[in-house]
Amino acid sequence: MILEAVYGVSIVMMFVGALIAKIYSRKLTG
Amino acid sequence: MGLELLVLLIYLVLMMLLGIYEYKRTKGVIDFYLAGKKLGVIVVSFSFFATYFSTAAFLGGGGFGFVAGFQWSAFLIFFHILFAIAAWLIIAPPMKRIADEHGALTIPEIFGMRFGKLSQLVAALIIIVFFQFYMVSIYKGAGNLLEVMLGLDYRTAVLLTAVIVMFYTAIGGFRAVVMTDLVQGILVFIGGVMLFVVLMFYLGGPINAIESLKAAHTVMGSGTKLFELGSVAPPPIMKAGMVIPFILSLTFAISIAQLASPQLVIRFVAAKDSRVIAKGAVLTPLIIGIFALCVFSIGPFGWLIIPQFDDPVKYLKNSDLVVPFIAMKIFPAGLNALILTAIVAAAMSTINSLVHVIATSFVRDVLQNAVKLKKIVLPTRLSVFVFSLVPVIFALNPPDIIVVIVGLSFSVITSAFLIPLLASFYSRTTQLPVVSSMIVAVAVCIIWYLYFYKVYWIYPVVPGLAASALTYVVFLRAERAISAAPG
Repeated sequence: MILEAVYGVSIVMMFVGALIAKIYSRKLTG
Repeated sequence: MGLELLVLLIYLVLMMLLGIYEYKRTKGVIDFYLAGKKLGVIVVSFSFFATYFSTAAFLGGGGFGFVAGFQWSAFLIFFHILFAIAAWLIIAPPMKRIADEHGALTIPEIFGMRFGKLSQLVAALIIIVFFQFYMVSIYKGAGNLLEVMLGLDYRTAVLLTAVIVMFYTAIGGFRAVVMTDLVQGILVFIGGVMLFVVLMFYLGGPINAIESLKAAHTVMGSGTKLFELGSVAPPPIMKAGMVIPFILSLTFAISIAQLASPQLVIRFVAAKDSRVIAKGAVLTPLIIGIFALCVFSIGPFGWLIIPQFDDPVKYLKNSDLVVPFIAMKIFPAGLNALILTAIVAAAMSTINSLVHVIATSFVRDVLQNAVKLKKIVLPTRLSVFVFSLVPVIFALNPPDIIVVIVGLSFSVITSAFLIPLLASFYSRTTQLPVVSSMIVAVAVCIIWYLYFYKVYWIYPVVPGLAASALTYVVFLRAERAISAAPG
């Protein structure tokens, strides 16, 4: 159960990370 | 075997041609050191990916799940994605800005300009010594792979890898490094994803494969243990009752290298501008995440394939054999050749970056500070030649002490560089805390590896980083207290 959760969190984190980078891209380029 | 060898030879010739092409485009120091600081997002992202994932990702990362089950796969994937995001969001933007402000060509040079010459020298020496040993392990991995899968003589295989990498890196510099990385990165990514997808088809789909694995009987007992945390690991770790600390610390140690390895961070410096960094922050964690999800999940499924053909105990003792064995069994000959070439590409893309970082650090950070050189491209080319070949000597016939140093070289680099890199973003840092933290990191990693690792099974990066951070804070505060004291 724990390992399934770690897998799930990893996949969600991958897409959320990309989304955060996209949203904050203007700040990153500043 | 003929087709595999043919595909590999075509790949090797292509790498050399790329080296010659980039040699003609290399016009000066900035080109040779940083590819003219004009890299776009696709090149930077795939170069970062290809440099980070060496043969160890395929063989060790993919194969160790056969021994340690999905706890290994799950945490290795988790930390890889976490630190890939952190590298691009936390390290990359300020690193690019600082390097551009100072006009630095190497990571130690950034330290030199931010903190002082001593920090530059210490950082360069750590790179030169420990990356040389790190290269030994990658040469050995490539040599073993070509020996097992193609039947090449181990010595011939190591020399072939070294000479080709040396050739294109020495003539084409960083341009050749990143352009070959691009080809190698695409090859590695496609090879890794394809291996997992074909494996799932071979096993009747993921759900069927998981159910079959749970029902399987393994040498360790029930197949369900592969899905539990803390249930399976190599015997000494099981006996010590340290399975969870071992899995967590090792997966953490491997993954956090993305934040602090100079050969990766230099790619941020070589990016064209901050917009490339912003786009790379979206793209690279996705590339790394998808690759990690596929390749690191392969190992446990070996229990559904290997026992049909061979004694699994052999693969428990040497889990590096698991992924090549699965590839040989489930792929037709043509695709098989692609996977083999992808694994060799993974090795070469890491070696070229390591030797480039070593050679540039040696010439720019050590030699140029001792002797005032007017031109540095030729000495750097000669250094690539020398530093490519020195690890070959050790890879061909490694004495015992070398094996120990190779084992901890990866830990030393991460532990020694993370704190100074973060400190370089902080304007009030001085040289003493930075140099102290690097030296303590190296010392703690070595001592821990020699005397405590096989007792507590916590990988040296964890104590090394903790000691490095603590030393930095203590020296910074002490220095401030002294300077604030009256009189």
